[in-house]
Amino acid sequence: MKEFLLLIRESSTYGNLSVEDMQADIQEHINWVEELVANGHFLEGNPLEANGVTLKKDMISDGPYIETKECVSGYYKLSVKSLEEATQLAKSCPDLKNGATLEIREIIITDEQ
Amino acid sequence: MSNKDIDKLTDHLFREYHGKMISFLSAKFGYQQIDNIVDAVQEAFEIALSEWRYKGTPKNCFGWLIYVSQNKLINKINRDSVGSKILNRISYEEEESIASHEAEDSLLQLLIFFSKINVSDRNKLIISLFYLCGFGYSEISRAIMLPVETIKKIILRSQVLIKKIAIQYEKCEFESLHNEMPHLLHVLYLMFNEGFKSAQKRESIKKDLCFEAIRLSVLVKKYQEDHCELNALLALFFFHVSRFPARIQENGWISIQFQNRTLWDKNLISEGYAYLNKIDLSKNRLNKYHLEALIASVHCSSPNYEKTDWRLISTLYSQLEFLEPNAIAVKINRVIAESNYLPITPLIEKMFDLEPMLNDFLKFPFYSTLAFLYEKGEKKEMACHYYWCSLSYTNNQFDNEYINLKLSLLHS
Repeated sequence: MKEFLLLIRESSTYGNLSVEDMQADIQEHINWVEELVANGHFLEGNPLEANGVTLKKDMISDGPYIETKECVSGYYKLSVKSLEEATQLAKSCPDLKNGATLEIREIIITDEQ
Repeated sequence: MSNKDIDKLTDHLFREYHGKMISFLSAKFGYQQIDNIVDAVQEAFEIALSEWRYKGTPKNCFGWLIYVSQNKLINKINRDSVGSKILNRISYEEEESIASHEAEDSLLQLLIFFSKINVSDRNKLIISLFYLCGFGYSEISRAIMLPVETIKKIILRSQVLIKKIAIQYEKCEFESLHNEMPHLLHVLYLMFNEGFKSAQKRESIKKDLCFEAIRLSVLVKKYQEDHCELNALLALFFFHVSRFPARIQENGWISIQFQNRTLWDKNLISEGYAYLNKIDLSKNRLNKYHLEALIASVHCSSPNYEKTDWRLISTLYSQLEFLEPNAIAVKINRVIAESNYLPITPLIEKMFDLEPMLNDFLKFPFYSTLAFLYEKGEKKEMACHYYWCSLSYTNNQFDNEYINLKLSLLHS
């Protein structure tokens, strides 16, 4: 089994969602994760705090900028056989419907032995 | 999340929480904080959205939400007014410690408060839906059929108004809740009617209004167990919702005459009767809600349209007329009932006596009823004329389709 990181990039503007919509969205995510858990693909998943800093050689700037699509709002760690399988699973992630971009990267496990 | 059992969130739970949170926090921090409270509650839901997606729901969702929104609110108030007195009075509450009856008490308080605000019925309804029922702007806009921007304006203005009134408002003691009941019942009745008059499958938001009205009525009933009008109102609500499954076909209304009565929900009907039977007639005067519930109960217990006891229904309407001599809609309904056993021509004359008293809302029911009477009296041309006429007084798509169907049947 390989490990993959699923990065969720989205703009976190919930302004137009009603609480009814929010509840529906949370429920969909819970269902999605439940299925991952049931099939043994789920390793972990966490949201990321919207505030943070970006560092560059001589520069510290606030951000990531939550209003841009570039902000990573959370991640999932999956255990699957291949990138193809990870992609297949990610296709049913409810965030896609909401306009998020998903990035799937294999984690290179260096300390295996 | 993997080793935790995640409870499925029950339908509309967030809406229910939203109302409870707003009222709980405003009972604690004062109604004049209403704008900050709305913001804090919204923020708490947004945090829930980003965290629960990954972590699942906490054990005590309501406690969690209250805890987060309260902290947001305190931070906000602290920023606004350093060292204010309000903050000395409260402490951070542990999330588990909030008893649900406390939240219900405050919900009822807020409902009473809104029912007494001096605004139009429509705005009262919009305010209640927003704060108590957790409806968003676009949901209210779909439910009340007004533009989103209008709803936003009404809510913003309501915040100013609430803050102004809150300063001198004294909380209602539940011992004297009885005095507040007429206002309360009126708001609940408005909410239900708004949903019922055009509830349809494609727009479940309309049905939601009906169920919200029932939910709040059941809450009020916890405090007013034997209230005659409240029992009557609940009976009325249940009789009406029992017919939901039969009211709609693909593209329009089905009038009660042609509804498939086997689709009527028998459990809901018996629920209606249970409330009706709780009313002690020896102790109470007949009231509007009771009469309406009785009329609905006659429909619910009739095997079909023809075998309905129209004389009884018409008698009940005449009693309603006595209670509400100016209600034209009641007079129109009475004529419809009478058209099933009296000669048509005098009834048509009776209708024309009402014509000068019509307001805009009544024009559609009036002209479509007039057309219906002509149709019954086999005066096709006049029937067509008035069906056409009625079309210019409705924007409701289902009304439109219903009338157009009538017209095409008359032409064929």
